[in-house]
Amino acid sequence: MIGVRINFSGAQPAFDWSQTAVDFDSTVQNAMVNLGTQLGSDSLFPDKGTYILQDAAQGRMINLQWANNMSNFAAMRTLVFSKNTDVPGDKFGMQALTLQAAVFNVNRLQLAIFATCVDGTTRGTQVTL
Amino acid sequence: MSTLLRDYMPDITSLSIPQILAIRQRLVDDLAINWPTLDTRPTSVAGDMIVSPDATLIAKAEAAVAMIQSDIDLANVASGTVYNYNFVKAYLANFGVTPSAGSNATGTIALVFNSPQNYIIPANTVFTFGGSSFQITAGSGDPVVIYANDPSNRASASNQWVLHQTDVNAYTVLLPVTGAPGSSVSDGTAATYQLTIPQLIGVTAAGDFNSGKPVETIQAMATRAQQAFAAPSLVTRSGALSFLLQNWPQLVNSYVTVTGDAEMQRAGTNPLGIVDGAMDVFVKSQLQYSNGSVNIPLVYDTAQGGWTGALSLPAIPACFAVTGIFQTANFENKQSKNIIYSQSLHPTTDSLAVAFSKYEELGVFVTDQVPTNFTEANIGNVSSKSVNNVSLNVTGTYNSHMFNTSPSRSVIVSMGGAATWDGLTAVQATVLDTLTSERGTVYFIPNAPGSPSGGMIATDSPDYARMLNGLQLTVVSPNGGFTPADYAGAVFSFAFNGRSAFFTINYLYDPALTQVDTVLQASNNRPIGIDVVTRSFMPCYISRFTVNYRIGFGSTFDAVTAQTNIFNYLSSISGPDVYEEAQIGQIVMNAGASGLISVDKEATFFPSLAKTFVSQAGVQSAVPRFPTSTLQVPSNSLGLSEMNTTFVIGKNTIIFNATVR
Repeated sequence: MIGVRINFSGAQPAFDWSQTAVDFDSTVQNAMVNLGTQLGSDSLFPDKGTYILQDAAQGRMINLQWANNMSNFAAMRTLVFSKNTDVPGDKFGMQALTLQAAVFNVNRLQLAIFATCVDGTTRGTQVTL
Repeated sequence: MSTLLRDYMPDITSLSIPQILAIRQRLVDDLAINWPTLDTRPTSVAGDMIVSPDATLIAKAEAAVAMIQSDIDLANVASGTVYNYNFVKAYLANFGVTPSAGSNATGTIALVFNSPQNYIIPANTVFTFGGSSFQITAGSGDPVVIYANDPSNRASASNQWVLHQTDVNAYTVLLPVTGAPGSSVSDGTAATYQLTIPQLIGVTAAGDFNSGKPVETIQAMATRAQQAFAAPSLVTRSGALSFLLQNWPQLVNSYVTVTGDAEMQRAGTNPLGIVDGAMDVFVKSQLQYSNGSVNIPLVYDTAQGGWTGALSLPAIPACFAVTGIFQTANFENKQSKNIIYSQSLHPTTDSLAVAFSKYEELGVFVTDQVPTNFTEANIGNVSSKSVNNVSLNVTGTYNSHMFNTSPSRSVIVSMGGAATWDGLTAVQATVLDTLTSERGTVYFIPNAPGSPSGGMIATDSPDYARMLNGLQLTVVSPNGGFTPADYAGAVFSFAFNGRSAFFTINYLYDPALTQVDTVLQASNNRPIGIDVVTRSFMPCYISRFTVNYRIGFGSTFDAVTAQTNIFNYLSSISGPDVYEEAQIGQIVMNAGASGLISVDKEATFFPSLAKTFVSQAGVQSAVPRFPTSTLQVPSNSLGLSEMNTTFVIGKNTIIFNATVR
């Protein structure tokens, strides 16, 4: 499975046309896109997306515990969506996805993402909201 | 006729999500052929930026194409489904079909004044009858000038209107008016208007208005185009119907059944398992069938005790109903017991599936008084071209046969070789009727068991009943006994006739049937591989039709008009329409009744005119008839349906019973 690489490390996510996201990396990348997509914004896939970005922007994450709570919901929703849209039998499908608030203060929320492939492979990264 | 796909592109909200997702999946599958590793899942770059938007666009395009296909399908347009009026209008114009211009409603109004003066009426004055507005017809003057009398000093005689005294204080002028198409105004209806002329005491309709004709709708145009351009060939049902309409526009009804229809009873498969093509064309050229009459000779069957013979009706392929059988100079055979037989002359169909066509041969058997004018039975001398001095003796009385057209025969019997019949040693013989060219086979068997003195005809021979019914033929050889070799080669000829009399047959028939059949069977028209049979609509004879209606005290009921209208209604019912009691209610109400209580009906559907069907093997079977008290066609019965049946009723059968309240 090969997809266009998206660079999440900049101020805004950007396509990196020179590189590709391959196999489980592509699955993880799709999950990160799903996390950042607002739920209900795609008429074809009503279950696509989460409320995490909206909640962060609107100040609903009042403390670390609350941020973790919302992150868990977003991770679970993303995992379900990923499993529903994976090609059946795909050996690079998502097995588990956890989202944990690593840094929480007034200015930023940094989330640690851990994804586990059906073959046991794991990927971990951090994103800042 | 240029159009753009975008003219048909629907709004995305009119598309269903499952529909778009199905197309998306189709795209994913297509892409996987060339790019099997491309990630096209939702939230992937290719999935969200290429596949999903493209799927949406393709869904809209496919919906647009479906609508275009619908708009060029004239059947859809004719039924009222139109997505792009301008496109359809331009499309029909390609066939030269443009909307026929409508015409306004027109009429004449009477303006009545109480004083003979000159009057000025503005040309744009509106006269309103109920909801319909009319204006004085253009060209009648602007303004319209009405003179009290006929002034001799008028400059012109046109557009100047003159009052005529119509009562003591009434002076009337008639003016032409026009209004929107479809406006209906009855004679004497009063109009409202905005004129402020104190002397004008009223405006009324002078006579019924002509309601004009609305501009042709797009549906009507499509129907017209369909009728004009449908392929008029006999290959398909619609083509055959179009062919009939094009060639015989006077037909009041026509119907075509083809292989696979429930009404088609004679389709089958050939030895290769291929379905034989069959097409039955039902035609009805007039509401009331023509009366025909013919004199036919019938022969007295001494065994059965009645008169029999073919119901041979020259010049028409099939009669529709027998209305009377009688002997002209003797008695009217109203009380006779008539049995009508039917057999199929069709090369492959040996059933009633050819009823009411030229392939159905009818025979009749009449039991009644002995007619006065008849010819006695007779057997002429036997001539022989014999071998071995074999002789033939003929006795008995010729009883004829229900499908024989002639009461006389002149036959040649040629004795052949040895054969076996009924398990006995036999001599096969051929019989040739020199009058009709009919041929048949009969067998001679020993005239006695053990030691016969000669041979006699076997009365169960294949063609005995048809050609020699009632006669006893015996052959004798000088050698004695019955040795086939003694009889081989002997030839005998003799003539005979049965006891016969002429009977008059009155019948109903459709004169167009012959003409239609002749054209359909012409080699230029007859389709290859499809057997076309032209038939009359199958009748349902109504024997009782009693209308029980309610009428108010002192009211009058126009029974003559009601009878005529009911007769016309019943005679004109054609599929898919069926009999509706409400129509009878409407007719009696229009004739003065205050209500319809009930209609007592008795009728019978006839799959054939015959009571008995005789197969080509001679097996007789009763023809079912379907009595009804509802006039509804029995379902799945010998090919009868509301599409190929017609009601037949005598006007005097329609009677009325009033209940005064």
